[in-house]
Amino acid sequence: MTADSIPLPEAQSPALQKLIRAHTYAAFAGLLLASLFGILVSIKFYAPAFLGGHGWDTWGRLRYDHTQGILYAWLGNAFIAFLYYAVPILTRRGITSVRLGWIMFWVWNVVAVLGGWSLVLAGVSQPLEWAEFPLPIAAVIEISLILLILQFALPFWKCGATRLYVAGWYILGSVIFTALAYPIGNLIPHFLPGAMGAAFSGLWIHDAVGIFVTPLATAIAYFVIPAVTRRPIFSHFYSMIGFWLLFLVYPLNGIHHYIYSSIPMAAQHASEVASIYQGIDVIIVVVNLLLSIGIATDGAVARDIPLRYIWTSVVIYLVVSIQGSIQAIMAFNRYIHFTDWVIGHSHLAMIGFASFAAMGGMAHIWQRMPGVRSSRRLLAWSYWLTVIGLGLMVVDLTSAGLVQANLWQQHIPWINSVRASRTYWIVRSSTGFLLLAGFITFGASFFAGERHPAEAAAAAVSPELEHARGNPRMDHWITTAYGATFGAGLLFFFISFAALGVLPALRLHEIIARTTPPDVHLVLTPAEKRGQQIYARNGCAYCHTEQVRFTPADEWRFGPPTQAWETDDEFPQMWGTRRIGPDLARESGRRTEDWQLVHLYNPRFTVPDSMMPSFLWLFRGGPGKPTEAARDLVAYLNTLGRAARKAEPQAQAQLAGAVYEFPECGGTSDLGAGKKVFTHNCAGCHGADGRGRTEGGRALRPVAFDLADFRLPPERIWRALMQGVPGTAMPTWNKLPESQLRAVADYVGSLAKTPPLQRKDAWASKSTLMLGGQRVFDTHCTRCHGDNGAGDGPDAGKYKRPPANFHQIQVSFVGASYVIRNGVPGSGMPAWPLLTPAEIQAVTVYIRSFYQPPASPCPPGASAAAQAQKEAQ
Amino acid sequence: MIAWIVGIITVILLLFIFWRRSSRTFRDRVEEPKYLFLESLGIPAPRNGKRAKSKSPEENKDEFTQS
Repeated sequence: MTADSIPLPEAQSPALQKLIRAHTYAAFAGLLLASLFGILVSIKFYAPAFLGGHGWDTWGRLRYDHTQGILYAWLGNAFIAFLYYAVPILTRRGITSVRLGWIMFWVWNVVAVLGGWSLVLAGVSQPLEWAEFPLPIAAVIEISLILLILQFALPFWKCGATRLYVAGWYILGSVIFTALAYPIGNLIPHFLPGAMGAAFSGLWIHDAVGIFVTPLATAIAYFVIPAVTRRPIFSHFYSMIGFWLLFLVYPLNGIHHYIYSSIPMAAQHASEVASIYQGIDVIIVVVNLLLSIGIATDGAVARDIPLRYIWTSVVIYLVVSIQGSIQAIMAFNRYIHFTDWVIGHSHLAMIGFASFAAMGGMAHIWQRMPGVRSSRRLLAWSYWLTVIGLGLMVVDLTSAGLVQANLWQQHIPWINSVRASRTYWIVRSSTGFLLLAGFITFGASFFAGERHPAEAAAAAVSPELEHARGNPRMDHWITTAYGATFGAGLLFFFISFAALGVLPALRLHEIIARTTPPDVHLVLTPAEKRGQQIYARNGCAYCHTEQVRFTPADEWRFGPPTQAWETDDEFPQMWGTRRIGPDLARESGRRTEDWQLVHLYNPRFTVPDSMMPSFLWLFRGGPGKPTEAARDLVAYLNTLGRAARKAEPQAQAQLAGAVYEFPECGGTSDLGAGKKVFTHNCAGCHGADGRGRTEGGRALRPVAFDLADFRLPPERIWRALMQGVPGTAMPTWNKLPESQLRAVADYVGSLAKTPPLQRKDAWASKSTLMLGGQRVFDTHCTRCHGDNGAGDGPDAGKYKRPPANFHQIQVSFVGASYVIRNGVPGSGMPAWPLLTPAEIQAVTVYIRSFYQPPASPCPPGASAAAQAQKEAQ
Repeated sequence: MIAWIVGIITVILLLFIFWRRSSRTFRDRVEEPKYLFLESLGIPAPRNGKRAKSKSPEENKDEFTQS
């Protein structure tokens, strides 16, 4: 075979150059927009009201567009641009069809990317990691992936296995396996519920990175390194070993995203072992690549910035892979899973490894394109901006992850970890801006600098030279072995599908059938199903997991671990892979509907330090005016763990603090510490002054309790903290450390100011007021509060919240007047507008006469309450 | 099952490694693609102790790698 007999490949034909340029420009646009989505998302972590109030700009939808944009708009276009350049060189043949290329370009960018982004912002999406675009877009992407096979895999067909360079193998493997893997994560969870669907989701989460991104990034490295160093790679044999290992082992990794879940433990261990094995593969690949660069000891990395990008990418590939292997080990996974450590890991993988490789590949190609501009200076700037930005981001997120992991192991409320993360999140945004600046500079480097000569790359690709005559028999054997191994790769892909998807699903089916308790109703009502859709489309599952893991920290904090049978009506599963807010798998019955609605309207109304976005568009101007969608969403939240609560009432009651003990007497009161705890946890509803006149507190039903004008006995305060207050939005606070509980109980006790009536303010003598007050009380109050004010009147049982027992509650004159005039919305207490001020004063004097101060000053709050009462008198 | 899968994968790769160690022809042939790739870029590749003759193309001149 001679040079004359083979036509020049189309690598640098004007038609292909146009396609390369088009995908390059689309990649820039995708990179900038996806990064912008990411920065907006990161700002919302510490400024949740920023750019909020509408459905389209809520955190979850922007988060979906960020990751899908990076995968398809940026990396997808960058890789395709590289393929148009590399495949003709690797195969010495043209691509299948330029016309097909343009069809793919428009379908990929207009229908898949722009269409997907728009639908997600409009609230049409699916809550599946790396598969957030809705099903119609997923179908378009799958068709595009098949077209990629036609366009780029077919030219390899006639190359011959023995002559195919490793970059070609990676390209072949990637385009074929991605088309096979894509439907697994996008489609199957719609048909298999909960735990069963999660097993398949896990496969795609990892395959998106391992089968689509990693091989193409590695192909770029294997292509660019010899092209720049002008020397062959260190070992083609070991590059092939790395290739086979990647495709044989990578599909087995998926379930390591669901360690400690109810997926069968054998599958979890399998993914753990495969993850470690994968680390070994990466060591082989990276050593080979670094030796390939290293043998060219003439400073090529320092001189050639695209190669510098590639070199950095290779080094980070090693770091991120070993990190990934360690993360999959159960002993480590129990601590760092769901934390920002994992987010740091994913940014290191998708930017440091994949994007740097893509940037190196694109810059390498561009420098060889005729008639375009390129600026080495700007490219150098972009390198340092992105490397420094990424380095700082990963250090910051890793540190945040360690802090979160540490706090989650402690017996303290969840919100402490949110509070502690705030500074890290601010730093993360700053590093995001550095990265964005680097990306902009990278794009600018393609439009600045000197213009290349129009004919610069006309002869860039040599026709095939005379081939050294080999051993036909050996070629036959190698071809057979490579073909068999590639076939084994395909077989192992389907085996991984069976071993980590189908078999666990069958096993789960059997477990679910055996363990589902009788009389448990899992099926959602239509309203709850609508709520589930709203939850899914707004990315709630990306902050709140719906799986309590089999770890001591999870069980202490959230309750009994999530069993497979509980998830048997989740289509698709929403287990989640990150916890910013608490897990919601046991949310049912913990909060009242009004608390949930106020929290949705503005989370800061009920949880002062919350970073959750407001869902204002689900309301008609106020927390008390929810739309049907808001009510549906709350209805869905109240299904989470409902079946488990019915199945295991004792465990749930224990968690809710139904059983509690007073702490032992003693210790000193620390009102300063109590005020701090109160401000962080209670002031959202009760207000800083404890009167409960905040917007959130007034929107609750019944409204938040006025702790300043109504004195509660210490036992009541302690019980409310430990158990919540049934019939109200007051939740349990039994996750607070006991020292904080004591402090806040003392502080709440000190808030009450119920001074006696001053003589100058009295409408009449005390005896007259008592007589008048008794008459008013007997006329208007006894049916609920009882004849002797104990809250046991004949109508008392009509209300969720029992009427006040004035033997235990001492009311202030100010507070009583306010309540009698305005009533207590959400309770049985109506307003009494016709009572005169003198009658109100009289009935207050009478009510106060019932009060019996606590006998023992010992329980928490007593000391401070007694002291405050003494001061007031 | 996972033990079988990992075992089979390891055996396949060990077979390749063993084959490479035992056959010089195989060793030479599996390295051939990296030279062919260089040649397809027009870069003279040292193969079997010889250097293939080739005209160096424009794209591989050092203009892009000069500081």
